[in-house]
Formats: sequence, structure tokens, C-alpha cells
Amino acid sequence: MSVIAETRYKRLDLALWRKRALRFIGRVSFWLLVLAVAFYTIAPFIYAISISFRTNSQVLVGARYLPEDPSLVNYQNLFEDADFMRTMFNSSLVASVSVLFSLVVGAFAAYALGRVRFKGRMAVLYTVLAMTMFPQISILSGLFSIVNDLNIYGSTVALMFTYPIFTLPFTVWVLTSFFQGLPAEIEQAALVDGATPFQTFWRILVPLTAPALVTTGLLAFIAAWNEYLFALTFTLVSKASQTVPVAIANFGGYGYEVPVADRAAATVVVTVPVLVLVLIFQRRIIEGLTAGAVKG
Amino acid sequence: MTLIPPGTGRRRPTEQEMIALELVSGLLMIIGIVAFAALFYAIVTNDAIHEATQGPEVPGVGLAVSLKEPAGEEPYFELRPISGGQADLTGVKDGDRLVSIDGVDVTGLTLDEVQALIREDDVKLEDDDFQITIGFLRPRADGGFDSLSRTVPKNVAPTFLIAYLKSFAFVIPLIVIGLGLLYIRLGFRLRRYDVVAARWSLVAFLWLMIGLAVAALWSFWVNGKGGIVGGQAFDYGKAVRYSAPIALAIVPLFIAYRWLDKMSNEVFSGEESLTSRQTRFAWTLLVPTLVVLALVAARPLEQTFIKSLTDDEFGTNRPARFVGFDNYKTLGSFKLATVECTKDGNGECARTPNGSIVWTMSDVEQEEREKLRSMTSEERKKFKRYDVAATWRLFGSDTGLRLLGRDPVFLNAISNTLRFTITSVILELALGLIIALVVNSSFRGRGLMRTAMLVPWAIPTVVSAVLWQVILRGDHTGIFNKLLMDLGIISEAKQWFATTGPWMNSIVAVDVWKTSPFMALLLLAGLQVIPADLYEAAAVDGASKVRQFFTITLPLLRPTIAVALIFRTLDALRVFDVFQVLLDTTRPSMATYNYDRLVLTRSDGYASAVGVMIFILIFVFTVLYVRFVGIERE
Repeated sequence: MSVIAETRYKRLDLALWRKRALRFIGRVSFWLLVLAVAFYTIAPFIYAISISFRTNSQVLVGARYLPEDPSLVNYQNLFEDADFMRTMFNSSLVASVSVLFSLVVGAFAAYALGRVRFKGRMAVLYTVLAMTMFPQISILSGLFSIVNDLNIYGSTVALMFTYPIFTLPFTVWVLTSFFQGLPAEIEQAALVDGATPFQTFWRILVPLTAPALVTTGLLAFIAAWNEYLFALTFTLVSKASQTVPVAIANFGGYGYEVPVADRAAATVVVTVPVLVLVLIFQRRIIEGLTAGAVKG
Repeated sequence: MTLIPPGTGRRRPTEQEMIALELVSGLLMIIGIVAFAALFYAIVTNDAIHEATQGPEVPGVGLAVSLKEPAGEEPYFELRPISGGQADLTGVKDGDRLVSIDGVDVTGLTLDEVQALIREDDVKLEDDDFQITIGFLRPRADGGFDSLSRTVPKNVAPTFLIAYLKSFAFVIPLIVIGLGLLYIRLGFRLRRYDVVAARWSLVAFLWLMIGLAVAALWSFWVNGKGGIVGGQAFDYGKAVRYSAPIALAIVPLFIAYRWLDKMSNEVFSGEESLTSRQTRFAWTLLVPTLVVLALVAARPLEQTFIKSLTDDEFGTNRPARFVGFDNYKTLGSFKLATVECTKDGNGECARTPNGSIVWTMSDVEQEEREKLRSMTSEERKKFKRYDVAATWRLFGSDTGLRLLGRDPVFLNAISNTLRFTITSVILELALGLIIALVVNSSFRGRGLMRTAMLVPWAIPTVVSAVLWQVILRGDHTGIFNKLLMDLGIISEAKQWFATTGPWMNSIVAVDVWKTSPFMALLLLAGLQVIPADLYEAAAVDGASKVRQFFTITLPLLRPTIAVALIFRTLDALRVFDVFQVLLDTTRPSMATYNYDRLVLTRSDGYASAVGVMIFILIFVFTVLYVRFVGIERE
């Protein structure tokens, strides 16, 4: 073997090692990045769980990463607190009613917008899109007087009345994009078989979009469950009809000492139902969110 | 029967069918006329409008005065609140003895003079004096008297225009008139045996029946309960009495619907194109959505616009008056001025203990002071002077630029919101992109990672704000302070939300945590549609990962980024929850400022103007944004 060949071989070897080392560093930094992202997204919630196992007096001694003496006393207090339980009920009621209503009404509109070509379609579509991005705050005072005139100020009915402002356009928008995604042959086949447009819609397309309805409903439900502005404005004075966000924001906030641990427990309790739903329907939710936002 | 169908219908109608058709078309016209009549009736019987045209039911302050002259005692004026007036609400009782009106002693006046004073029928909306203060003696059980005084608002009628605009305005009357005309027109067209008219009539009947059914149920519930939220036992008698007529009205409609449905393919004639058929079908389906949006969105929007031109206030008896664009003038007025900093002993700019620079007064403030000095106290009350909103130091020099406005808090709200929006959206985009890129590459546990990403998104914004309030507590009980101290980054606990602290950064951090995973999800969807062979080809050509990112990923992701940016920016501009929960009212966002004006100070008209301003600002922002980011659609 000649000398030249040998050095070339060594050089190759060196290059190989350098490549390996670089790849290793890349790997390690990638995993560090993954860990950092994971830590960033879930650590705050984990900390809420951790602090919810401590008592208030323990919390005021100083911050700790892990509870020194885990106890369930905060949760016990919370579940025995009739007021808080009622806010959970109010939230579920308001969100369910407004979402079911929006789904029924919105499915009709979405079908028209997604499957039928007609004069004025784009105008309606853009109106709906504009409404999904509408700043709700700017109609707050108008809504306030209407709610007052209807004599529903301070009741959960006020919220059921106002929530369709954001749940309905959202539902219509997302369902429209789902309907658009269905193959065009469906209606043609149904038409050939002698079905009326309404039968096609009710018997064939609605069952086909049942998964989409579930997803959309879930997303709208979460939006309604999380809503704060209307809930605060219309139920601030009547404790009996408050929803979860209002209750959490004011949780024991009137007293001298801020009940940090109780608040943390409440945070965990109201988040877990949503989290469970989200985990179950994870894939669907991601599809729905991106369908609503990206497809346009 | 002279009306013989012209057409190509399958058969000619019989005599009975012709009569039936006349009845059905008549029904449509009657419905239209009933709609007009109902609207007219509602306007005429409306309380506010009635008051505006007839004057208030109880004039003046709603107190009756009579002269009592008991034997052996001084004569006195006795007060009696007229029911329905304001006086009994403010706590004047039967038998109180009048002593003074607006500080003027009434002894020595005649009954007529006192009555004239207390009624003050001539109160005009232009007057600013909407109340009188009465002093009176209230007899005690032991025979003595308590000396009391109450301020009683006068009953003043609103102007007709305000009363009409606040109760009806445009949306609902226009809908009613439009529908009424539509029904009447359909009635006429139906008589020509037009098949298209027949089909539209079917739609008209169908939705009217559904509407009436809903109205009947609603009326059953509301009347039974005695109000939407009434708490009494359910009154079935009343419920049925009120809802039955509405339900009965459905019967003729239903008969007409069935008949028309059966006949439309037999005796009606004419051709209908597929497009026209589809259009009708689509609008039929859109009806409920459009009605709901008109009621819950268009109507409040209209109310907000109308009220923004008035000085309406909640909780006062004074009716609203039109003030033109005064609210907007106050909100939008601003001036810029330069100021110098005051020097300390070393020739440096002097600072207050918490580190802010002490500035001199600007010319604008001097002028405003002069103006105030030359005013009477009445004028002063109404005058809104230019006040300091913010002062910026110019490039470390001794000169500062000062922003002044008639409503400095609103200017601050705008600047806070803009600062918040710009920083949070940029950070979210950067972080979201990193997260999306990480999750888009395949590694073990990727599914788990995606799940973790949904956690911040699923937590309600208010709850996340409360959670971060706990994490960022400003003393040793805050875990973030502890973490930073353990890592040796800071030596003592920091006040994250204090006025002098880094509160804007803290707020942005809370929002970024909550929303960048959502941003990442949107971007991820965009990343996944980029074909993989593009990267393979680039790798074969020897392009580095960084190069691939800038030449393939970024350009192809551009549309997704544009959409995500618009969504997030509009969301950030209307930020409410985090500001409301984490900060006090002196550091508002536009939305929390609007809320404060509405709920805390109850100045309804002004708050409406704020709402409209936000609406306009966001609208302009959207238009500019769509132009600049260059989003191309369909």
C-alpha cells in the first residue's frame, strides 16, 4: 500500500469521526430542545398540581417545588363548597345550551355555504368570517342595554343569549370547511335516487359529518367554557349565576389573605375536565383547529 | 273567477282550488300587513316613546305637597310621594314635613309657590339640573323630629328620537318591513299560478310556523314563570292563556302549507332553473343563522353606535342626550410637547425614589392651567383638560417627548395594547415556529409531545392568568423567584407585576405561554403539507439544514404564517382576560378600559364610544395588515 493511499484513508477516517461527533452533538441538542419545550408547556400546570397539595399556611412560608406534606384538604374544601360546585354547573349548562343551539342552527347554514352555489354566498361567508374575528368588547355596551331591557341581567340566561355571538360564527365557519371537503358525488347519487335536497342533507350528509360536528361542538364548548368578558359583565353581581372563570378570578379574592393553595386546587379542578376531553379527542381537535384557521 | 292560469301546469285548477288559492295568497298578504301593524303598535305603546310624546307620567320630582294647619300648632307643608315617581325610591315618606327646597327656606311661602317649586314642570332636557334637594322633618314615635335631607331626581322625558333609537332603531324595523313586503309580494305572485312563487311561499310559511312555534314556547315559559328569570311557582293558566293564541295561529299556516305543497306540482306552472332552486334552498337554510346574528350581533352593534353619540349613563334618572361626536373628540384628542428634565446637583436628570425621571411642565400644561384659572367653577366642572399620558426620554438626552390627551388613560390603553400585541405576537411566532419544527421532525414520544402542547391551550385564559399570578408572586412565595434565586440569576425576589416592575414583560410572558402552542399547531399543519421530496432533493444537492429552512420551509410556510399572524394579532388587540385579572385599572388594555368605563363608572355613552373606537382601530389594523402581509386567497 502506498503512502498516499494511507493518508487518504486516514483523512477519510477523520472526516467520518467529525461527522459522527457533529451528529451526536446535533442529537443531544435536539433532545435538549425537546425537553425544554416539554418543560415550558407543562411545568406551570404541574406546579399548580404540586401547590394544590399544600395548605395555605405552608404556601405562605415559602415556595417549594414539591409539597412537603401532601394533603387533599384543598380539594376536600373545594368539593364541599356549594358555591363553587354551582359555578361548575352553570358553566356546563351555559356552554352546552349555546353550543347545541349553535350546532343545530350552524349546520344548516354551513351546509348552504359549503355545498350549494348561490348568489350572495361569498358575502355571507365573509360576514361570518368577520364575525369570528369580531372584537366582542366593542358591542359590550350595546349588549348590556339589550340584556337589561330583556330583564335577564345577572342570570345564566343572559350568557346563553350572548354566547352565540362567538359560538355560532365559529361553528358555521368550521363546519363549512368540513362540508366543502366531502366529495361532490354524494348529492348527485342521492339526487339520482330521488332524494330531496333536505333528505340529502339530513339523511346522508349530517351522519357523514357527525365526527366533524363532535369536533366543532367540542371546540365551541371549550370557547364558551373559557369565556370571561360577558360572564364577568353580566353575572358579577349575582353569585348564583357565575361561571367558572369569574369564580376563579374572584376566588376568595375579597378577603385579606389571598388563598393561593385553594386557588391552585380550583385551577386544577376546572382544567382537568377540559384536559380530559382534549386528550380523548386530540387528533380531531387539531384537525378542527387547523381546518378553521388555515383552510379559509 | 276570472284568473285563469296561463300555463303549462299539468292541469287546470278546479273551481275550489281557485278559491283556495285566493285564500292562501290572501293569507300571505294579511301576514305582511299584520307585520306592519305589529311594528306600528309596538312603537306606539312603547313606554319610553309614550313618555317622550306625552311627558313623564309623574311630573317634577313626584311629590305631592299639602298645607296642614293643626289647631294650636304652626302650619306646615306635608309631603307625600306619588307612586311611580322617583321620590319614594330615594326614601321620602308620607307625612314628612317640608322645610327647604334646594337650600331655600319654604316657611312663609304659599302652597301654590311651594307646589310650583317642587313640580318644576318646565324642566327641559337642555337644563343640567335634574334633581332638587329637599330638607324635611320626619316625625319620630316619641313626638320629636329628625331633620333629614334627600336629593330627588326629577322625572324628565327623553326626546322622541332618543326614545325611538334606543328601543327600535333600524335593524329590527327594517327586518319586519322587509319581510312584510316580501310576504305581500309573494301573495300577489301566487295569484299568477307562478310555480317559483309557490315554492318561495312554502319557505315563507315553513319558517313562519317554526318562528311562531318558538315564540309560543317562549311565551309559555316566560309568562308561566313571570319573567325570564322569575322565581315564583309556575303559573300554567297564565302560560297557556298567553301562548295558546300564538300556537293557534300556526293552524291556518299549516293548512295553507300542506295545500300549497300538494298543489305546487299540479296546477302551478312555469320553469325554474337549477340556480334559482339552489339559491332558494340555500337561503332557506341560512334563515335561522341570519336571524340570530341580527339579534345578538347587529342589534347590539347598532345600539353601541347610537349610544356613542349620547351622554347616556346607567343608574341616573337623567335621559340621554345627543352630544354629537363629543365622546370621540375627548377620546381621540392628543397633543405632543417637549419637556426638559429637572437637574440634580451633579447636572444629571433628577429621579424619584423609584427611578423615574422628574420632568418639567410642558407648554400645553401651562396653557391648560391658564385656561382653568380664567374659568368659573361651572365651566371648570365641564372642562376636560389635556393631561399627561406618557413621557419618553429622547435618546438619553435631557429632553423628553410628552404625550398629552383629554383622556390620557385611553391613550395609555392604546399604547399598552399595541406594545403588548407587537411583543407577544413576535415572540409567539418565533416560539411557535421552534416548537412546530421540533414536533414536525420524527422522534420517539412525538405523540406525547403534541399532547403536552395542547395543555396551555386547553387551560382557560383566566385560569392561566390566575395560575401565573401564583407562579410569579412577588416575594419568596413565588416559585419563579425561587427558581431564579436557586439558579443564581437574581439575588432577591422581584415584583413581577408591580407598577415599577417589568409588568408588561410579565403579561406578555403569560400570554405567550398560553398561545404559542396554538400558534405551533397552526404552523405544524402548514409544515406537514410541504412535500418531503423537496428536502430530499435539496439534501442531494448538498444544501445544509439551515439553508433548507430559509429556501424551502420559510417561503412555503408563508401563507400559513400570514393567516396565523392575522388571527393572533386580532386576538391580541382585543386582549381582556390577562389585563383584567393581573393588573389594576391604572394599567388598562383597550378592552379593560372599555369595561371599566361601562361597569365601574357606568358612563354608558362614553364606554360605547370607546367600543366603537376599538372596532375602528381593529378594522383599520386588519385592512392594513392584510395588505402588508400579503395574504392571497382563493
